Parts: sequence; structure tokens; C-alpha cells
Amino acid sequence: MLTIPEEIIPDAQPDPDLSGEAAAEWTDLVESIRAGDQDAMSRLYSTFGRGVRYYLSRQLGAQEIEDKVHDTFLVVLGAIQRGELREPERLMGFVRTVVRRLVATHIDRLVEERRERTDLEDGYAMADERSDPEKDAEQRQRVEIMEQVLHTISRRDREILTRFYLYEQSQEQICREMGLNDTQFRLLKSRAKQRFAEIGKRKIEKANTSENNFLRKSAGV
Amino acid sequence: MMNKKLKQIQIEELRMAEPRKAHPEEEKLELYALGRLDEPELGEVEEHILICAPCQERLDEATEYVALMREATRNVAVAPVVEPAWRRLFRLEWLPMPAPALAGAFVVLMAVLVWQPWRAAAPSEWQQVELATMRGDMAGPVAMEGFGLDLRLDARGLALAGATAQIVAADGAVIGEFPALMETDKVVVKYAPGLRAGQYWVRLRVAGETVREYSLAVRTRGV
Ligand SMILES: [Zn+2]
Repeated sequence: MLTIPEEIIPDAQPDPDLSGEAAAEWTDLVESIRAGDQDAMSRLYSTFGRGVRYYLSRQLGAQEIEDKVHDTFLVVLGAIQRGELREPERLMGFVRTVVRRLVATHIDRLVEERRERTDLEDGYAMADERSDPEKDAEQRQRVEIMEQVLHTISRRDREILTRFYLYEQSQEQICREMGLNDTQFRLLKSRAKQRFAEIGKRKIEKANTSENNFLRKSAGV
Repeated sequence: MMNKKLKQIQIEELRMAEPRKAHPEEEKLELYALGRLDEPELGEVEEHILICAPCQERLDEATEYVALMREATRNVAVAPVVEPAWRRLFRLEWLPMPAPALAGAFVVLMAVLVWQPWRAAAPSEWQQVELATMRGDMAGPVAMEGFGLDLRLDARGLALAGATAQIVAADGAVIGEFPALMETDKVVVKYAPGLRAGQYWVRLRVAGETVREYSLAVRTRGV
């Protein structure tokens, strides 16, 4: 059973940028739900349903997503109905806190399950997620294009990108150590992206296949 | 009834207007995809993502792009340095050249020998090591001291969104923590400085919890 501790409720941080209009709308929505307005509940769902589903599947994969979306709304609705959402204008922050908590709870459970399993079993025999050959080929093609892009730029530019994407160095560190300013750094990154899109576009025109949605999207075609 | 309809429209407008006001910049989405945003920016992006469908798509694209960039930079960064730098230097393919140039080259060679750039450039050699969880009585994977480590962790069956990998010394000291880069069913961890001889652990962590641990022994070169 899903348990969400009480302390999540004040967890939402104040948002100085929240416009008065938006704040009023959230407050109105929360108050309507508290007043038992069924329509307001469906509005809550239509506002956050897609985003909650997206967030959960991004964090946890596609498994049991609908159950978790349902759990999220049960918690949010419950808190609103019991008057526990002290800052109704922070509804977005509250929904976020609930989904984050749900993700953490789910991961805790996975860790626990894993611990129990390793206690019982010798090795690891878990379902092997089969890869999709078509997807793999598409991915390989994209990586090759990116490698092509990396080969067309200078060694120094390549190092900058490698530091950022592979070694996870911060922009500040890279700029400091490589003598760059922020604009140069941003420009280099956006040029690489542009190059990738251009080469991808050319490849698509050449192959003219109906597949490869990502390349088309990246290339803006 | 009218009132409800009006509210419905207003909330629709709110859903549109609110995101339009604050679509996160490309860079922020990229940092989010890389797991490198901190509060309060992290909160701003996540709250926005919860209500903005176009930005969910943008985030998907950013996520794909950074994954691609990681893989490509890894491939491009690793491929040319398989051969040790000193061996490349002594291949002497540049020898057939006019005498003055040769004299100049000699000076450069001496300078290079004193400077020893292959020591400065870390790492000159990479070693790929496959790690899998196994029982204590089995011999674990062994790496060589001083090599840049390219660790491949068996991650089958794990959900690893936002996971990190930690290299931990035998005494429990954390040597480094890196984002877990997924490659089909493996996590790739690159550690350029290499490790000294000894026993280490590599831990896969999700939300601060270890979900899998691997043993890694590092030996002195030539042993
Ligand atoms: Zn948006």
C-alpha cells in the first residue's frame, strides 16, 4: 500500500515568480475540489494527468504506470480534501513532491526486493530486456553521425564537448580551464547540434526512408 | 453551468499561458537530462514539465541528444589512444626529412623526452573491464594499475534513471562518483586517472541507495 509521509506537504517551496493570475487559478481549483466539485477533480486530472504519467514513466519505465498515476491523484486529492495543502497556489509544487516521493518509494521497494533476492539466490537471474534490432541500428546510425560531427570539429572543440557530455564537467570549470567565455561555450554546443541536424538531414534525404523519426525531428524535416 | 464552463476555459488558458511564460531554455533541459540541475532550477523545470506537453517532447529530444553525445564522445575519445603514446612517438614515421629539419626534430624529441607528455596526458592507455555481480568464492575481474579504466557493469534488470556509479576503496573511501551511462544492458563508467593496486568496489546507486555492487581488483603492472 502506498504511504506518503506527512512531511511532504510543507515541502513545496515558495515560488516568487508565480504570477498572481496563475496563483489565483490554482487556489480556485483547490478550493473547488475541497468543496466537492466533481468537475474540478476532472480538471485537476486533465491538467496534470499527462505530465504525471510522463514524469513517472521517465523515472520508472512503463511498468504499472497507470496504477502509479492513480496513486498520485489519490494522494493529491486526499491532501486537498483534508485541507492539508496549506498553500493552494503551490499546487504544481505539491504535485511534483507527491510524484517524486512515489518514485523514491518505488525505488526503495526495488532495492529491498533486490536485497531479498540476493539473499535467496546464488547469482542474478533477472528478465533480460531484449533489445530491438531495428532500434539498435537506428541508434548506431545516430551515433555514427555524431561521431562524424565530432571528427569535423577541432580537437579543442571536441575536448570541450567531451568534458561536458562525457566527463560531466560543469560549464564554469570547462570555461575556466579552456579559456572560454560563456557565449563561446554555448555557441560551440549549439553549432555541434546544428551540424548533427544538418548531416542527419542529408542522410535522410539520401536514404529517403520513412523511418528514422528522430533524425527527421532533429533535422527539422 | 456557465460558470463551470468558464472555469474549464480558464484552466485551459492557464495550462497554455503558464508554460508559455516559462518554457525552460534548451540548456536547462539539457542539464536536467544530464541530471545536473539543482534546486530551485530543478523544481522549476520539473513543475513546468508536469503541465507542458511541448516541453515534455523537448525534454525527450534533449535526453536522446545527450545520450547520443555521451556515446559518440566516448567512442571518439577512446578510439585513438589505444596505442600507448610512447610507441607512437618511436614509430619515427617522420624521420625521412631534410637534415636541418632532422636536427630540429632532435631538439623537439629531447624536449619531449624531458617533458614526458605521455605522463601528463592521462590516460595514454585504456583498459576495458567487464564487471558482473558474483559470489565471493569466484575470482573477480582484474584491472591493471595506471590504466584509464573503462568499466562495463552488468546492469540487466535494473531501472537506472538518474543512477550513479561509485568507485570505492577497500577502506570504504569513495574515490569518485559518476553518472551511470547506460549502453543496452551495461553501465559504462570511465575513470581516466586509473587506480593503484588494491581491492575496490564499484557501486551502482539510485537515489542514494546502492542497488548493485561489483568487486574490482587492481594489480600492479607486469604481475
Ligand atoms: Zn513548456
